[in-house]
Amino acid sequence: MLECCSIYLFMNIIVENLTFAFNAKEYVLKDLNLHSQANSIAIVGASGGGKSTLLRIMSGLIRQNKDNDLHGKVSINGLSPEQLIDTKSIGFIFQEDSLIPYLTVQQNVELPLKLKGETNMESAEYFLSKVGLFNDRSKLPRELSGGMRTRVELARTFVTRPKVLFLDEPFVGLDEYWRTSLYKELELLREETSPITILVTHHIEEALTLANHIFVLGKHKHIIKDFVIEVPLPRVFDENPMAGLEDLKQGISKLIISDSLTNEKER
Amino acid sequence: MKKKGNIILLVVLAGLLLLIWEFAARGTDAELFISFPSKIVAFLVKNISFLLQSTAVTLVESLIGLIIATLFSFALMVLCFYFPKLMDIVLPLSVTSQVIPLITLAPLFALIFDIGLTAKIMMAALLCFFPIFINFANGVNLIPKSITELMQIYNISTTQKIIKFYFPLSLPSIMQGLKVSSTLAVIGAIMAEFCGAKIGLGKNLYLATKRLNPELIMSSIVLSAVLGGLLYVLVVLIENKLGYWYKQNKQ
Repeated sequence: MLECCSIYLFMNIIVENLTFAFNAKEYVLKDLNLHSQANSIAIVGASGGGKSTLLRIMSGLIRQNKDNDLHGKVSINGLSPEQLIDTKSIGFIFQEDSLIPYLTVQQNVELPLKLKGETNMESAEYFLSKVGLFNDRSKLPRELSGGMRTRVELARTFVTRPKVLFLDEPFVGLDEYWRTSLYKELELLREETSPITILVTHHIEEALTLANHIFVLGKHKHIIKDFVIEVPLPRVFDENPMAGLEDLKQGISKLIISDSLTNEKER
Repeated sequence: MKKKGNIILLVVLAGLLLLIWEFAARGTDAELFISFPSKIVAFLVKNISFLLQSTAVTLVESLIGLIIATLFSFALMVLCFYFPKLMDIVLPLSVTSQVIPLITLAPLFALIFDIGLTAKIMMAALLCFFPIFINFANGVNLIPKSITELMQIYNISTTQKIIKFYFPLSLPSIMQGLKVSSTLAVIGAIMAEFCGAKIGLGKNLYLATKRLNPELIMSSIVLSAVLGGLLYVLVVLIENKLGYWYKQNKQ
């Protein structure tokens, strides 16, 4: 399936023969391979296809234990998921709200710094202003709209200047206006901290806007195809970010649908 | 406006019931057992200092019991955070322990600790422990998966998790448990006083049944209700202070 076979040393992201089952029988991922030189990849696929699980394995949230069956190799920037977590240099934005409800916006953004034992909170204020929430800094999360809460999550994630950024459907449930505005904020933040980004989404346009290497996770629990996008990032500031990518969008969409249909027939 | 109307309705209804009681019981056999409101009030006023003294004793017993139970369940939870396997033992044990009607232990405590305050405090604490502990454990389970995973991403120590996340995030559940326990504390203390005490509302109730003194029974019941309410309000006040972030009325 892989079209590129460069030397591993130049690979930012490597997943090799990854197999995972929550309990030894039902496989969520099977012999999954994924290699990329890009610094922003996206994994797309049908809902319930194991995308989130893959992201959790790559970020070290899911580890091998006695109940599950996990083997294979994952390496990002030369580090294993466990090493990544140990270096405390990863950021993760979850699909569900993960703001701390009893902390104000500012305290939420300061939290990762405080947990790291830092005393200088200037960067918290800096990132708050960067996402345009400085004036709302003393509000509680519940007083903010969904889009604003996602902004706080962005600020809180970038405040530690992560080297690797995991995004699990971060903008789900937001309208087009908020999505576009958050894409722009994300790109500005990435420009400043340049993390390796791994995005999981079922929104193909989102993947095409934010990533330059797109992997399609099929129902057979491995990557069925990948596409490298040559147009450099960020694209969201262009007048029409999807210019020239419309065909690709249609293609990926058809691929996902036909893949799920073949599976239906096999059953 | 609607709330105010409800309160007025409630007061009128209560007043009506008291009036019926007053005139139905007065001069009949029922007077011997349940007395009637004006007589009870007169008794209450006459013996106010003694009655308040008994109430104060019961209050101290139940309050200390409640505090001990709270601290004990917090300590146990902290232990379970450090040693998660412990929870697999403690949880089923504390749940099955609830099939014992705990108040049956009151005579035993009276026997062991004699008629001092200890037996009452222990009894109150014993009744209070379970609701606080089980609600706390439940509250920890209710922490959203995304926040649990965030703690993993931050790669922080158990101590940090406990202080920054587990305790504050389970506050709504802890408070729920404390509200239940605040009334149980009074029940525990009074139950223990039944089994032997120098002074207290339970002691009053016990004596009054032996001496057929319905005024003492009724005024003690009223005062224990006030006591239960007092402890409940105390918990609510603490919750209003700490729970500003989930209490809706604040907005």
